[in-house]
Amino acid sequence: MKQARRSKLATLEDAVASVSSGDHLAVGGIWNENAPSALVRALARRGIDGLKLSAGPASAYPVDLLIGMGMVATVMAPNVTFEDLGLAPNFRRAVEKGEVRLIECDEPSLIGGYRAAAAGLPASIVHSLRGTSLLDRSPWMTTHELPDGEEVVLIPALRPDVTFLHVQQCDEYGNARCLGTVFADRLLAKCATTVIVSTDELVSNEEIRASPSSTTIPGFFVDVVVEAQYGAHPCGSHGRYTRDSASLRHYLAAASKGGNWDDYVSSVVRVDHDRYLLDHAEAVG
Amino acid sequence: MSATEASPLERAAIVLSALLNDDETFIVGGASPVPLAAALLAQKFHAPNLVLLTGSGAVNPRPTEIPRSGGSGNLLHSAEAIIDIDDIYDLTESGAIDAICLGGLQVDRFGNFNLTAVGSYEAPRLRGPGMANIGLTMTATRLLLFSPVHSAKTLVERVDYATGYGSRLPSGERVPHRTGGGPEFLLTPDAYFEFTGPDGEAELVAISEETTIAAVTERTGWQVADAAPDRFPPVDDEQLQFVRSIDAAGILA
Repeated sequence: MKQARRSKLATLEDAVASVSSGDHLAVGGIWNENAPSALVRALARRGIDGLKLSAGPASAYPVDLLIGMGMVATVMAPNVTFEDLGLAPNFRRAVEKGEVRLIECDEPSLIGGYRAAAAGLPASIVHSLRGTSLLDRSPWMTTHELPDGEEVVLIPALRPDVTFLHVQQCDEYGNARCLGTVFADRLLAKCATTVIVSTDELVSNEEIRASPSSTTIPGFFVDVVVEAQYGAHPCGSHGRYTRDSASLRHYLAAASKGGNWDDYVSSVVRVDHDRYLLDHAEAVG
Repeated sequence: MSATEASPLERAAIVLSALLNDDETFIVGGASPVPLAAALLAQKFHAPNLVLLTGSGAVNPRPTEIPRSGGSGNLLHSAEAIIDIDDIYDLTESGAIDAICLGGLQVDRFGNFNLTAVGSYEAPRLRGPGMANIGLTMTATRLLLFSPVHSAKTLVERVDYATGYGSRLPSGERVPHRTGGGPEFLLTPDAYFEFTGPDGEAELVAISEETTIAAVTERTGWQVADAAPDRFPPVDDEQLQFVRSIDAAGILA
């Protein structure tokens, strides 16, 4: 019997329902750009906790927000910063007070772990970290000696249960275009069990086929597609909109000591995406 | 501000630019407007074949304006190619990066730098952002240190935590397993040090026209040896005009 190709489209709420307490969640993006912010806020509206959270090597809002919501037990993220806007307040406080377990890592170790998972290998060999202070603080990496006596560092495979990504264009089958940099996002798609992509714009499969070399993440790496206009906001989305610095500053003030975090959560996080867009109509036009 | 009065950060970008070589592959990280401006200056004036990579993967960007953020689309949309994280991983492991410019919450006399924790590691007074790529500090041919702040709080005798290693460990012992060249110099808006001391410690080589040896000594957390440092070379007007032409927002002003 002839069957239609399966669409991967879902609502934000249905998409994030596949994340469970205790899961390893990985979030894509780079610093204040391409963050899967709408997906992260939708997840924050669910009452799960105990997440193991990892992120591409440069992160900010998703990591800081999920920690602030008390949903994260363990975090692996080598560079969490809002860059010129400031340090990440919830991340910083939670690590200083020991409220989350931080697994120290850097780019080669994190990427080595993801690459091993993507290739189905038990571990990656990373040479650059031999002798660094990182090894003293990261018992998950181990040093081994090869038969010829050479010392190598083994990074065990890191396989997220779920990856959240945000892209600028995508079709209903998950063929995605990153209009700026794909950075770590394709790798995060390859190494995870379930991959959920939000897109600013849903485009047709015909449009995707008109320029296959523009597809930065092929659809067969993707499980669920969510159409979410301004889905990276308050972060930027390369080629579509720049970061909203005023909204990010509002976030940082709320998350900082003495800030009104509860008000931020009720007025910004605990509202659905349509309401969020109306509330930010001035910024997102 | 007239052309003859470069700001401290504009001057630092021009000094740093002269320290970048033609045909080098140079990578800048996040929130690095000074190293970025230095690389664009170098390409424009004396190093047209320098390959500039950004942390976001932009190759040889020509931004009309230098951004505050390393992830900015300004860098990506003006690049001639974009590489991804797998490329950066391979370049890190293979040691193919010639030069990287870094700074820290603290930098010590050996060039150890701290982006991890101020105070104790277990209960820090300040947890820093962490270092995106520690591996690169071990494999890059040249490690260039730049601190936009020259104060005794930043330039310390010994870092609380060595996220990346200098010419020696904070204890003074040799750095094991390094395949790259380690730190070559530390530049601040006020001073230029090279790690040429008998034990690899920083030696003062030059200071800005705007400061004095006494002021530099006072605002440096380690003992600055008696020296007769040179002055930074005078700012070239044409170079300063170029920096300002890509800095309408006055990030370096």
